[in-house]
Amino acid sequence: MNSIHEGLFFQIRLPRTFLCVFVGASLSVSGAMMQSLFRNPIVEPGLIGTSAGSAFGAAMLIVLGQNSLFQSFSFLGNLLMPICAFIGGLTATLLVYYFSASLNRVNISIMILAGIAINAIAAGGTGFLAYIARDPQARSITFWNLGSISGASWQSVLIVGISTIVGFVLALKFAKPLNALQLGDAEAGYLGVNTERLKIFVILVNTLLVSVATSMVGIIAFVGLIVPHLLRLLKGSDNRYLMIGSALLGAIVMIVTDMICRVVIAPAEMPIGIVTAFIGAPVFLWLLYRFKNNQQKGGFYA
Amino acid sequence: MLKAESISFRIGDKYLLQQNTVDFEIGKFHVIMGSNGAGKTTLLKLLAGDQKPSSGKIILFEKELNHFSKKELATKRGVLSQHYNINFPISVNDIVLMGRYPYFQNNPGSNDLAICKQTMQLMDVYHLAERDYNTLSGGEAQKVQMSRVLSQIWEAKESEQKLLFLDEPVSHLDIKYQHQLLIAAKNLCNQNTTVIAILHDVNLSIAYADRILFMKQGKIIHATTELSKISKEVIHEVFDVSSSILHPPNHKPVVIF
Repeated sequence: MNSIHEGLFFQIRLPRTFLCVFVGASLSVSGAMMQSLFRNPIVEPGLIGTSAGSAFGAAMLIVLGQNSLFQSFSFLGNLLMPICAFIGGLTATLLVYYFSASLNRVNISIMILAGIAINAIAAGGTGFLAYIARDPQARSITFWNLGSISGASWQSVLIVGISTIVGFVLALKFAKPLNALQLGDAEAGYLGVNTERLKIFVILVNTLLVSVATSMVGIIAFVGLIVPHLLRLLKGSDNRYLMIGSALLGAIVMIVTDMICRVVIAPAEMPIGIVTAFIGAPVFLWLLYRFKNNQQKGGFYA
Repeated sequence: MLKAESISFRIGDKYLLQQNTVDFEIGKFHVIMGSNGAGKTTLLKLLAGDQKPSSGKIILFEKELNHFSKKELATKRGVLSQHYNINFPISVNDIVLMGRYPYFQNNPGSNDLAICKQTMQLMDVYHLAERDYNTLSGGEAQKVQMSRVLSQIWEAKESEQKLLFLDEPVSHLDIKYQHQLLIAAKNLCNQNTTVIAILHDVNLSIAYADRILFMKQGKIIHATTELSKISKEVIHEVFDVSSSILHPPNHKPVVIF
């Protein structure tokens, strides 16, 4: 093995694979948590504004980074980008949650609509920033909106890796209370869960996972929706297994998808967000179809 | 053991409960009755600690209810609610096991699993253990939820006092299981558990209750342990229907409408 191959492997391929592992795990675990939190199978970080908000936060930094406001935080160095993404993602998620949560339960149709509105605001803001940006900046923003793993470096692996591991450990801690939450807010309370605190923690951890991943690789939709779903169909919805399974399967799905991206239009490379959208959106429609049919089926309200 | 001192509950300007003072004796089967919207479920939710009263206080074991943490309360009382709506595929086993959540950290112990099995057998749903909860009929689902609530307050040692709250526990059950469920609850009363249930069937209530509380417009208007003395005037006042009451020999009174 000569030194070029070695460099290629250690500096390009290997960090890229690790980044795929962490991003896939982050998005899938966060999808699993959000579905359990909203008690709804069609929720994913892209639908409720987390991803778009994070991208907006990142775009702010890219375009307005020379501004004195951002300069005063420059001591944060490379963490500044994930932090901006986190603030953007958190703001968007909290807004959607605030609008859709009313008296003890989340109203799903309002949540989807609020998600559309918040996504539109974030996308509009990102678009505006891209419009006023100088050319190289605009290119980075476009890259964010399509998602790409190609920028992988050991540094980005480290940052996403830390957030993934921290988020995953916390997600495991939330597994049992999230199970109880499936019975309803009051019922989870009767089982000893402090539901208000749980919701806030889950939203925070979720935003950490999604926004840090997004700040490194851009918006990658549908992974967080589909991975937990496949597992639910296979193994039921016990979050204690779902979190672990989502992390593993998410990592695998992401590695495979990235491989597809590198192969389909070789030697050029497809942005990964395009591939996940093309595969993910039809699966999402199929899930919606199933969900609709399930709603009409037996049980308490037949 | 459980006392409410002039508790009221309001949402906006509307009072759902007004100035109720009531106490519940240990090991008895208390039934709350009343027409729709009389405040029964609200009262139950306050007593179970889900909502806090707008005024007044609730005392459990000589201590104010809101001084208990949710975790502490979870090991002292179980609550069966009216409705459950679960959106994900989840097995009956997993649902019942949730009743043991307050007692284990990450993985259930053999004791927890044994209790779940026992309560499922008691409610005749053990054969459904592997089924997806969402494919059950309304009655089966109700029995599964009852098994879960029973596992939550199932305790080997009888010295510990527990409470069981039931909000219309038999609404989806056929006659056999109505009785089976209420007998199970009644048996718990003999083990120091206090049962507080909302029921709609007067005769079922008379058959199992030690005491019936009648509610109307957010107030408890009658509470009696002498069930044989329930009069048709009371029934009329509470439900606004006329009835007559039969007193068959060697049998509890029967209300016919």
